Amino acid sequence: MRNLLVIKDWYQDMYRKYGTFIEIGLKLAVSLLAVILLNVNIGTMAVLENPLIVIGIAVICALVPKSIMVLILAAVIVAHFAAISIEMAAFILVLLFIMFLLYFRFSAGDSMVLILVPVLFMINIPFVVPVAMGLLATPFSIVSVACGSILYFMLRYVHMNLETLTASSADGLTSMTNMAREVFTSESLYLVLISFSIALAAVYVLRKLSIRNAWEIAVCAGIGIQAVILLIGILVVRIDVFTIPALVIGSIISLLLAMMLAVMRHNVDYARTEYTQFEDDDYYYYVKAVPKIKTREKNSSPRAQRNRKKKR
Amino acid sequence: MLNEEKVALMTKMALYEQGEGRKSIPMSKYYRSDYLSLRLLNSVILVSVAYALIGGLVMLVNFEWILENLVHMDLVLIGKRILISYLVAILLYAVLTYVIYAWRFKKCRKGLNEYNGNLKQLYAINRQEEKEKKYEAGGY
Repeated sequence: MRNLLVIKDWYQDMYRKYGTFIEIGLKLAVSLLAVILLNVNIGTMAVLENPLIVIGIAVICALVPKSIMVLILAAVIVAHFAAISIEMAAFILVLLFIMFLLYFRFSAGDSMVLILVPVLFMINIPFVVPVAMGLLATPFSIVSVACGSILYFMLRYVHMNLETLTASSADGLTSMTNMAREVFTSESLYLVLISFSIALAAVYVLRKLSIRNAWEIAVCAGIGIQAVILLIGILVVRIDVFTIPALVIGSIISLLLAMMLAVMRHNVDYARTEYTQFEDDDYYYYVKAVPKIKTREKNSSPRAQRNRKKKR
Repeated sequence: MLNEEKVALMTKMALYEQGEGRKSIPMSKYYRSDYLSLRLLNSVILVSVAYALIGGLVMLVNFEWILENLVHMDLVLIGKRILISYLVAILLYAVLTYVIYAWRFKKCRKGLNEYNGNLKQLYAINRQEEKEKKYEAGGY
């Protein structure tokens, strides 16, 4: 625990100094991963396979605001679909449009989840997303996690049926109809949605409790709930998204990641150096504002506070 | 000469304007009832569009089935069902919109109050400065 607190202090210090760069770096990593994974798993649009274009897209994504980044990556997905058939691209475009209309208008900050869920699904650690959203957001985020999962199942369907879909005999309209039927009637999708939703709600409820280490308990419970529901799913309904070893390993890695997040939770959004500029009649001001460290959360455990005092 | 107090105030205000204030300041120009009804109207339109799109997708996916069974279908009943589900969807979404935006409207007050306080303080400082300038220049 002591070591974790040291790491946390170091991280806070870094974040305060280099927050802007860390964020750009993270966005670069996520978008690079997203574009590469799309190329590897679907890769129907030949132009997008060009390494220069891949890097270009990732760099642009890293520099623009998050909501635009999501739009660009959504466009990449639609482009891959369009290379298979226009009808499928139209279908996914309309679906994304409905998601934006109905939900992301309320919480634009959440739209990142739409991309994160499929990306993390592809590297087999999607379990961290519901837990993270339960920790950082509200239960409403269930909707965005669900949208991300639906998107992943679309991609997965295309990945698994790539040969039939790209065969010259394939008819666009039929492919689209089959995809829609297959995805929206798949038991796996609904089971994943149920497990994610329950886990997210549980994490939210548990972390609000005024007990010791509420956040850590919430993380463990969240990952545990997902693992148990999906394990039952694999054994009883025979869902085919995960194999048992993949589920176990993915859960363990997700647990570690979510724990890191829980420990470092204090300054995801704030306590970051801000740059601003303004003017009055006499001067232009270019200001760098460094937040002071305030006494942190009210409900952090007494032991953690003692440790912090010792270090000062 | 730089007035440090003023710089601190202006920095706080600039940070607010560029962050949270980007949403709250336009919000503060409405009465609560106007703001909420505008949002509700917006929602109803969006839900209608989304509903039409979802309906279109469902029809497209089941196109063959519909063509085969078109003759036997009770179109009035289906129409009624579609209408009722549409109204239910609008109602649900309207309630959700109302709750969320009423809460947001209330929440943004705190930041706005602080911002307005800063604004007044800045105004006072500026007037003070002007007075001093006049004094330095000699006055009447």
